[in-house]
Amino acid sequence: MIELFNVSKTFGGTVKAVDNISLTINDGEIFGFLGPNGAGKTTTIKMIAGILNADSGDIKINGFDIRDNAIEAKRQFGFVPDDPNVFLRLKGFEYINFMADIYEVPEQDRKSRIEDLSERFNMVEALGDQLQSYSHGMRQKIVLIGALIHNPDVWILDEPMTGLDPKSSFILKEMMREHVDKGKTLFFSTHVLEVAEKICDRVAIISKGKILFCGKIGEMKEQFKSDESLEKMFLELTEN
Amino acid sequence: MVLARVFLKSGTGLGFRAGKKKINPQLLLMIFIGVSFLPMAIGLAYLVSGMVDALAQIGQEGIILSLGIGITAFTIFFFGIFYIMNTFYFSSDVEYLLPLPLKPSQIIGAKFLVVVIFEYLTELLIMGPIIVAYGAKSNEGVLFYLYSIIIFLLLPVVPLIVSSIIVMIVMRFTSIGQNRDRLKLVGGIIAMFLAIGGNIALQRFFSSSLKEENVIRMLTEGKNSLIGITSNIFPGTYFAAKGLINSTSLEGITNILVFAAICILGYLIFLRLGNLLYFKGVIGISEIRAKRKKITGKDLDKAIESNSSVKSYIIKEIKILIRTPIYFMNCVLINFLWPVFLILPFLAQSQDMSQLESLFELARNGNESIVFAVAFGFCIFIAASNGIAASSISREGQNIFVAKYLPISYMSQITAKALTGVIVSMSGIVIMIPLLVVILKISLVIAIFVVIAGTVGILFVSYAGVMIDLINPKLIWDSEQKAVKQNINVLLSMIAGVVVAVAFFFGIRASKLSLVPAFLMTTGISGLLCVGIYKLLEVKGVKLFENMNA
Repeated sequence: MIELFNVSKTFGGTVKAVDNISLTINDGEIFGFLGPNGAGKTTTIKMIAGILNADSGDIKINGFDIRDNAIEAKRQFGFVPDDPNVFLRLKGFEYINFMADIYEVPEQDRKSRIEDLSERFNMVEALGDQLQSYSHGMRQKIVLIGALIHNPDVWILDEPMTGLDPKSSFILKEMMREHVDKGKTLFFSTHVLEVAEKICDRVAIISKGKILFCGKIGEMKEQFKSDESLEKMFLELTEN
Repeated sequence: MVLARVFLKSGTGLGFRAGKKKINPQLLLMIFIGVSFLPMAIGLAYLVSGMVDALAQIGQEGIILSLGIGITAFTIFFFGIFYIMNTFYFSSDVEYLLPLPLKPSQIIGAKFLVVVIFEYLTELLIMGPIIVAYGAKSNEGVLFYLYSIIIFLLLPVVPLIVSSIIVMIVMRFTSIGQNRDRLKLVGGIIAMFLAIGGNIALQRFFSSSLKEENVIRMLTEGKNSLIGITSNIFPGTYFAAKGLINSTSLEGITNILVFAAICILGYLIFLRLGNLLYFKGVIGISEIRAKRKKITGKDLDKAIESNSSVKSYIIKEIKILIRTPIYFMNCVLINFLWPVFLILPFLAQSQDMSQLESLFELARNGNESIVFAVAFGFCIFIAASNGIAASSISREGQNIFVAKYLPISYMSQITAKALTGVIVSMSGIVIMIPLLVVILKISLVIAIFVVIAGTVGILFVSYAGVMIDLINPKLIWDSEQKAVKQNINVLLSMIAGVVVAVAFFFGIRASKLSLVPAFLMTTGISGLLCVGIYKLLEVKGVKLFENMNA
């Protein structure tokens, strides 16, 4: 579970990127976080992951405060950033092994997980090469594998589909559904509204740092009193 | 010109103000480097001044100008090969430029201009003192200085054209560019050793040029007859030298015009060749070749091993340091080259090895605590100047966010970064110490004391380096070079290292302690300093890390 209580973040003393938002992402649901460019999505995600400090408010992951109990909170989730260009001089298996060490994955579990994840994402032949030789999509996949190697309860994914080929995208969506079906938590941001419409149990729409809507897509349609697509409702909400 | 302006801004970082900083650290670094070269420039000016007096008596004072022009041109040519390779082929902007509707000559014309401007700094260091000292000593007129300015502006052109053509041909017709890391590494190492070798050769030339037979030859020939030999390295440099020497006559302006014409013609040929060769050599160069060899279960068993998070972090840091050519050359390799740099001045004295032998004698039979103090100070200096710790945060660059979300405490990460500095620095020292025992015959006891005290001292210096980098990290960069070479924190760490090393040396000397008490005192004080800096990092360092954003 991820909980945000009255979280705000201001940059440069004047630009309020996130304005007093409160959200609860429950276990067993895929939660989509949507918003136009510059709405505050990535800032919110970075605060949840501990990359940025909120100016005010609290953020808890499975009950652990990200500020007061940072290490324990960070152990609860696997994070996939929107920029997969990390540690480009490490080989694929070195990167995964490094992540496994940081998350203290037992040695007996590592090999099977690496084999399973690399086969699912079709990365077996690339594990022996440095990340700098990978395409954008391959780097996205290796970062995904690194985030999932410790079998976290909470997945936090920032634009995870970017650069993925259709097969990998399908596999990821399958894995996302499998993950929440086990009663675990998934929070992801995306620009691709069709994906959000298809797989999300609940969504939140953020614009100019404020949450405009939070709930099921069906509830949004009731609110709009129409059967429009998520895309149309999104555009109306964010441009109004 | 628009392209050249953009390249110049991104190359120097001077067009961009990072946050609220009032003083651009980049500009500060450049000023500092300029000031630190001042003593060398002043020394060179004095040398030239003395040589003018001596050579004017035999009518060969012009050799100073032609030598200066020749050496400058050669230096520009030699280092130009690496600048051109990096700027034309390996810079990160190449991929963005290729799809634009630009001719190859426009791209390389702009990049060439930027490299020429950067070479003005090299030129200023060599030619500046020579021109000023020669002009003042020979009471040269306005025309001399006017021609000097023209030569200064045009001198890099021909040597850089030659470098560019060599590089363009190699990159067009060989597959050497396909493994850019290996190319950068090998090229950088060759450059380093050639620079060392060139330095030795230059020093030996100056020491032997004052031999009797050379002086007699100069006396009989006269009238600046030797300038032809010393300045005919590149097309045009002979005319530049002649123009400057004969600045008061019509011969002067004629030669300057010929020199300028050669430069312009050379540039036009370069652009023409660029249109033919550049694109074919550069397209596809940013693709990194990979083997894509399937890892078997057995390979995976060998490769997958579990380590503590700090150990794993250290291994990650070391792998990145070794595999990134710029980091390897500037941070790792340099640890092993310092002994060579120290012995260099003595090797340059070809006939007379007596200075080297007296150094051996001092090491063998000198005051033991002084020998220990010197060796300890040297260890501190190596660790502080290799920049591993002082650029450990900067090297993360835009990836600093990874350090923020991983479940490893900031203090553990700081410790891992400091220990990386210790391990790499000590590896150079551990190789050097046995050589000192065998060659310089320092006592084994001193050697062991140096290793123990040196480890503690290096730990302090490494923690201090990380602290320096945490205060003002350079996280915005587009090439690894900027993270280590154009990083003021590395310079600050080097200065701090010198201060600490000198303080320990004078402290041990003043205390007049014998070896064992000196060793105990040094190790004890270093240990206390380690504890102090560790406490500071726990409180302040962690806070700085927590609040850091890329």
